[in-house]
Amino acid sequence: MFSLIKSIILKDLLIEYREKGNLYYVFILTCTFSLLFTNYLKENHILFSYYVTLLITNILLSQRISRLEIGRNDELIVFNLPVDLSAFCISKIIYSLILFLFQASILFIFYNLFSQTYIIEINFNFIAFTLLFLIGLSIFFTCFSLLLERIKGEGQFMFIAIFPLIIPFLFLCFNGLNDLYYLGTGEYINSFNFQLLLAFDILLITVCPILFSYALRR
Amino acid sequence: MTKVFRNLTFDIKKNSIFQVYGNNGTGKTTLLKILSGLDNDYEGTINYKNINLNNIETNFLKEVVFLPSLPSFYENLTVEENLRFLSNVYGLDKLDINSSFKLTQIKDKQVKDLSDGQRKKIQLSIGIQSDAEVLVMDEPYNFLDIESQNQISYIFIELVKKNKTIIFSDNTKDSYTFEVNNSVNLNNV
Repeated sequence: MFSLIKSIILKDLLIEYREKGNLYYVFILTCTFSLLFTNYLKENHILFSYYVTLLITNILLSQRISRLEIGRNDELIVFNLPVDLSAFCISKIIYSLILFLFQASILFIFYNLFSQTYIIEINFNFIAFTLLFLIGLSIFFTCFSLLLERIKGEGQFMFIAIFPLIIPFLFLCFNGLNDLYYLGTGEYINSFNFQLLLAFDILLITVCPILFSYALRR
Repeated sequence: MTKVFRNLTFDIKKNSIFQVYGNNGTGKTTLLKILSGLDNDYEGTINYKNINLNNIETNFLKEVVFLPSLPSFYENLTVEENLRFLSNVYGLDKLDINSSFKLTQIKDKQVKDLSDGQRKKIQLSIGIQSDAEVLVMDEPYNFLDIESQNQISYIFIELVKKNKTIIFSDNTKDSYTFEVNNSVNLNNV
């Protein structure tokens, strides 16, 4: 299973290295959004807009990543292959996470560059929260965009089905965001909001690949 | 729910060649997908080695390999990179690009630059090299020139000699250079 995950991730990285399609996409989207938000939002909304930008661009990016998995017969290329679909889903989540982490770094640079002041401070809380936020998003969007590519006729239903899962996650993130710079490192890690977010991420990483494999059962 | 076909009963013997034929839209691809364990939207029972197809695991797809009519690969990878990836998936040491067709000249080309015929040859070459006991091919003669079609027929005979079972589909029940042991006509079901 691990060799399969490794070979899928390596295949994706090789395609990315050759085409750089997703990287250009990330660069243009983050540049546009960060320029807009840093110009028109007040300074106390900047941190919130940073994560909203990540949210919006990740929705678009994950659909693009999933579309690359579709073959000429409008099916997932791996569907006809002896591939464990949960392992496939996990490898796509890891690949998305790599891209999203790159995107978060680029966005951080743009935000600080365009605002001409050091507006987002890097500390342990910021890194830990961003990591949990991105893990959650990559699981959500990778899993559901892959499902959408497969279950085209029921696409609208899947969009409705995603809301009960994503809304609590976004509420948790919003609460966790409020404490980010008010609590010390130890306090923040032990805070209820952060631990709930961590628990939610663990739940997602367990449930989503199984759900994906079940929904696409051959 | 629309039924594509009904009252379909047949046996496929080991080391034999089985043909599914019928006009467009009669359900050839659907039937082949069901037999390959890729579609479970059917009523009835299908047994493979006395095991119900509903109880199979992912490894079944290594034993019964389905080759779709339109070959799908990762378009931005070269032929060799696709073969390397697929050899990992099938758990093989290496897939030889020249095993069935001479494809050396295209091994460094990206798949998006290949013709349909070349894609088909790569797909067939992978299927033949896999450890599959049963090869399910949806319209294997599509996109191929006469010379390659003859080569496919020869390969079919060789595969049966190697204890493999061939299931393939075509529009008509043509006369082939090999003996079709059993067939099913989907025009009348």
